[in-house]
Parts: sequence; C-alpha cells; structure tokens
Amino acid sequence: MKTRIKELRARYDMTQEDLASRVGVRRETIGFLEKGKYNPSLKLAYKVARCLQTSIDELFIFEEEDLA
Amino acid sequence: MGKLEKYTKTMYSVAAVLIMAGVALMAFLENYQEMSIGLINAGSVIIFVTFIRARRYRSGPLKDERTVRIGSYGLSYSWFVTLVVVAVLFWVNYFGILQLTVDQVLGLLILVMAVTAKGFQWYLFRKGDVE
Repeated sequence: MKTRIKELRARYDMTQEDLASRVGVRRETIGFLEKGKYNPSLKLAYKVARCLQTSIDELFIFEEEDLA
Repeated sequence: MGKLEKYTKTMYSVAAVLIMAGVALMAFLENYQEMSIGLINAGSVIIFVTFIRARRYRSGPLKDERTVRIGSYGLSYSWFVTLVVVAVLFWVNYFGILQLTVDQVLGLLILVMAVTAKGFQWYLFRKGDVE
C-alpha cells in the first residue's frame, strides 16, 4: 500500500530514525512502511499519523486493488 | 534503563554465570570436562551475540510489531517443515530405506528446526512483511 509518510517526513524535516523513535519501532519498519512493503496495525498507523499531524486516511493511499 | 540495555545486561549476566559454572566444574570436578567446555562455549556465544545485537540496535527498540510478527511466522513455517521432515523420516524408517539411530534423528531435527526458523525469519525480514 502506498503512503505519504516520506513526503510528510520531509515537510517536518524528520528522519526515519526520528519518526521510528517517536512511535517506538525500528528504523527498518518505517522504511518498509514508506516503501509500502509493510501493512501496519491500526495502532501503529494511528501513532505515525499523529506524529506527522495528519489522519490515517490522509497517510495511506488506498487503491481499489489494495481493498480487493 | 531502556529495554535494550536491560536485555543486554541480563544476557551478559547469564553468560557470566554460565562461564563461571563451566570454570568451576573444570576446576573442581574431573568427570565433567565436556559439560564445562559446553557451558563456557554457550556463555561465549551469548556474549558474542548480545554484543552484536547491542551494537546493531543501539538507537532503537530490540523488537517491534513487525519483527514480532515475522518472528512468529518464521517459527510456524519452520514447525511445518519439521513436521514434513518427521513424516518423511517415519516412512523412510517404515520401509527400511535408511536406518537411523535416535541420536541421528534428534540431531537432524535440531538442525532442521534451527536452520529453517532462522532461514524463514531472515527471508521475511528482507522482504519486509508476511502475507
């Protein structure tokens, strides 16, 4: 699933490391999230969205094929 | 104290206890030389692995929801492969194709379980997630 994490991180001048430490996960997990290779739990999605001052809906780009 | 720091200290303590037990066995009991070498080896391996992990994950948590998920899936795939190996061994023995001793079978199973668990986890970690 595509995300806007990278774009929002850049806006807030935040590194993967910073975001990872704020939400309490490994840096690699943020990397995989950004690449769309990892689908997070609702809790992690919420934490990431809150750190990036957005909503889960805005953070993830839901496409028809993801929902099929 | 962070989670990683606590884990590191605990593992170093366990390793120290194992090594001291091994040295004590070697010094005071003559008949337990193999066991004492085993304990010292186990302690040394724990120190080495803990040191590597502490260096690698110095700035982050030791595990998160992704690593826990991958760890569990790796173990369940490994369990399934082990089940298949046990079934194959059963039929191999049943038809007399190969006669294995209990030691050989147990050794093989330990090896299969350890290698497949680590192998699946390594593959899934590289992939990013499980589906």
